[in-house]
Amino acid sequence: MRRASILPGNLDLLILKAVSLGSQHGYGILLRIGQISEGLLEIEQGALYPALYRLEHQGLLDTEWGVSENNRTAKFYRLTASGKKRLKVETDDWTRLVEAIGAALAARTEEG
Amino acid sequence: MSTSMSMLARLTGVIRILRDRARWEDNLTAELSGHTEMRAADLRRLGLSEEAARRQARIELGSVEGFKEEIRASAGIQWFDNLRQDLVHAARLFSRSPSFVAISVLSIALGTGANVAIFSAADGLILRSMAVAHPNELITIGNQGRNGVFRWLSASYQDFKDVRARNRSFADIAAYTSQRVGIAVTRDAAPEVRFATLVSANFFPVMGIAPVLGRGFTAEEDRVPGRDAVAVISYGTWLQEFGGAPDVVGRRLWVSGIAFTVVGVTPEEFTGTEPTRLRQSLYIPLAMWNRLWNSSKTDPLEDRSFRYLTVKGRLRPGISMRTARADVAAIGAALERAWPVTNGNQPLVVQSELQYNFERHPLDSGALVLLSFLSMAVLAVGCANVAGLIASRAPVRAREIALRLAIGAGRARLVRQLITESLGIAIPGGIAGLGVGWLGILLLQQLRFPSDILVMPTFQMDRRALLFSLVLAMVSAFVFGLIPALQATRVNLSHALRNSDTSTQRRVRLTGRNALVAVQVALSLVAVTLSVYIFQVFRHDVMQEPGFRVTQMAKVSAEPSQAGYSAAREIEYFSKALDAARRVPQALHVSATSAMPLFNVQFSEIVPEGYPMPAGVEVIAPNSSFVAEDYFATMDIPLVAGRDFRVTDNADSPLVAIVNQSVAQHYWPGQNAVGKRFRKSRREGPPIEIVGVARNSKYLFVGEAAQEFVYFPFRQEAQGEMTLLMQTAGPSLAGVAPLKQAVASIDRQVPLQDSHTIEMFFDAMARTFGRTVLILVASMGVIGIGLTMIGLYGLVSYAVSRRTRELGIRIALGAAKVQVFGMILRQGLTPVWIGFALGSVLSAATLQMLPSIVPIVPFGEAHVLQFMSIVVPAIILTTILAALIPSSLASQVDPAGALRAD
Repeated sequence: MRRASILPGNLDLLILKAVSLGSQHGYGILLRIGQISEGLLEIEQGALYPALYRLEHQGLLDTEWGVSENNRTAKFYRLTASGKKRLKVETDDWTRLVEAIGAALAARTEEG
Repeated sequence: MSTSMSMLARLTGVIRILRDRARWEDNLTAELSGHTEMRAADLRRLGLSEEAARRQARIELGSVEGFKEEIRASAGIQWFDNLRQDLVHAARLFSRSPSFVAISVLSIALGTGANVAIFSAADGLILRSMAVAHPNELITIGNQGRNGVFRWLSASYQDFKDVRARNRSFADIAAYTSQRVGIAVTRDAAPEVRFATLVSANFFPVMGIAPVLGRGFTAEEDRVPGRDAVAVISYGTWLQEFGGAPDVVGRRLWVSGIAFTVVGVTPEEFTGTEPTRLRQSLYIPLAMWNRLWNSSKTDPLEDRSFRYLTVKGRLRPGISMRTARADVAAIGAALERAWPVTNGNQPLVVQSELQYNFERHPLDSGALVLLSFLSMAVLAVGCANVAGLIASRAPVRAREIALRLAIGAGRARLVRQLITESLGIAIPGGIAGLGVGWLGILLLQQLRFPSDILVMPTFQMDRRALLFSLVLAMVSAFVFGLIPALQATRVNLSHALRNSDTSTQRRVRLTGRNALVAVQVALSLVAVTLSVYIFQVFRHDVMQEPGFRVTQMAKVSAEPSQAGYSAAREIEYFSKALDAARRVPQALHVSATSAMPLFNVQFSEIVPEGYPMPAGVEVIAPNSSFVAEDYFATMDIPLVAGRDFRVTDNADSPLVAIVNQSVAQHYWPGQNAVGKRFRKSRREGPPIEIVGVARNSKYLFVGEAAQEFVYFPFRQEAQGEMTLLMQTAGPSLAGVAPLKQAVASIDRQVPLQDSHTIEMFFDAMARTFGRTVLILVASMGVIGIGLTMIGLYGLVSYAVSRRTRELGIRIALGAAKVQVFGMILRQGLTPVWIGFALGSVLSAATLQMLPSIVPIVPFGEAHVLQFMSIVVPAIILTTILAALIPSSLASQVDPAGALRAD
């Protein structure tokens, strides 16, 4: 199956989702997105950090320095209350969009 | 994505980062390198070698520096970095060309400074509002009054009450009027003349003034005419008359002989309803008006034709000016129908506070508009200077700009940088301009008013002047900086990098430079025209003869009305005062007038007999005054027909008057006005016979057009206040004290004031204002010309010096130096001729336009041409020098060397 490349607007949504599963550092978020999309989504690594900083600047993520698995200091990101709210809103929007497009694409002619 | 955090929160975040920038950067680097390390570790687990894993990880992440920039942008700190970079770059550039910076900053400083000075003048004379809450929201209501160039809105008390009761647009409206009263702190003290303001009870709440001590007035205190003698005193009065005593509330004050009780003190910031002209000492309920008004002929509270109140109010929330206008107009129409005699043809209008201020001071407004034109022209010249200087540096910077464009800087980024440089000149220029403006303000502060109770407007630099200067500076930066910035960044990269100069490029640049020269010359012509025109207008004003005596005379004003005199006693008082003055040894002629020319104004209403009144006009309202016998001899105003007033022209003899030539010629042309009659106040009024015709003189201000004037004998209509005039045999100063003493000796209770020489008076009233304006105008004119010459010289000489190489080649090829110089001169002067042509057209258009904007006597162009004969050669000479000096320097250069130079 072909890997889909990710649209920039959706990267934010995926990051929020990934972080909602637990506070994580940048590399870990990258891996997690790969995991939860079952390997189907390809993330441009260079787009990750600008997006993380943007989300932090907008108040959707909070950061804190901690220790990673291999005993290095790393910067961990977690979801804020606004972030949680935004995740819910965007998820609902996306679901509705998918339904609508799906319905449109499933349309058949009268004959079937 | 929509923002989920407020601007303020974001800004706080940004500031936090900036505060510990180094650590943030370190953290970022650590985070990113941590990322690559973790990736490398995973890759190693997949089997790659240490080195390969590391390289792979780095490649995957991409250009770290590149998206560090992106991260900085996301974090919101990039603009700060850019700004700092631009400023540092600009500072370095400027340090390398100090003369460019100096001239540019100076040009902007002079331009903004001129505007700041004029703004402060406008502020002090017209714009400054009352120190009340939201003064710009006040609306004035009233009937329109007119007298020549003066217009005003006023209303009667009964009309005010009706408007207040019936309107639906105003939250509330208040009324006030000012008049002179005599104030004494104890019953027996000699009263001093001050201004009191009679106000409606709601005045303080409507204006939004909270007394600092005590209270304002209650509605009850303003209800019954003449009953409640209560007063709110001004802060200044509290300090001066009561020594700032904390128990002043409840104490008594004698106002024109009536005992008032102090109930409150106004705050220090509130300087009255006429902050630019009068010092007001106390506030009294309007209900007391009939007890203070010094004439028994009418009841100010009942008479609807007695329109001396200023009525102001605030609109209800949500009501527009248009609604209010219609509402008030409807009430006015109803009043016209109900009271046709007093209110017929007297529509009610509304005015904003700004309109009100301008209308009250037509002469000052006119003068200031003129001066603003001039100061803007000077600023325009300054901007042209700087634009020219920037443009001449463009070729030098083309390489640097091209390089930066080549390595990837966006055009927008570069334009932003160039604009920052422009601001780097404009803002210091604006700040320095405050210094220049301050000098102008110092000049304005030389103006003085020769009166004890009137006040000269204060000219000062306040926050608004600062803001004004900075805004002007920033606008200038865009004016002179934007176009060169846009142009400079449109550079052809390959050409600029090679520093070659194709002929098309050069032509474009040349046209740009020529255009700039032409524009500068044109602007300077306009500036010169304006300054000469304005100069002539005011010089005309200043040089006018007043038409009456202004040497060897002493004066003093006496106000028996403030000592409670009745009408009959007033006549007796002045009669005795005149006799006493005549006994003073130096006295040659003694007389008195109720309206001192150039100082106060009275007018009367007359209906000339045998004159067909124009349609819709009921009465003629010439300026007038009440004078004593011997007035015309004392004032050196010849009587061209008939006789002067006599002691026998009194209450028991037929009513008489003396008119000036304008009146005689207008209403009885070709006839002898002596013996003709007119009626006073209305067609059915008492007839008055003209017994003399006086030569015209100046009555309101020295530059005025011919006015109509009527004199009445004071013995036939008592005056509460008159100015006594004593012509002296020797110097005026020697007569001042004796005159004052002589008058004081009649009754020490009568307040005297404004005792000085006629020279002092005339100088202050007529000459000083005009002279001050002349100095201002001349300064601005000189600045304008100076700036132009500097700018022209810089521009032209730079242009020529860029052609060093070409000159060298031409001379090397055998051209005679004279020929080469001739060519340079010709080419250099062409834009100058164009500029002259353009400037002449613009100047002529401006001259045409001015008289319609400003209510001053229009002026002929003769003097402007005269001045041009100085300015035009100066400009040509500057251009020639600017072209020749670099040329001759260039021609001395070794031609081979010039050829080799790249």
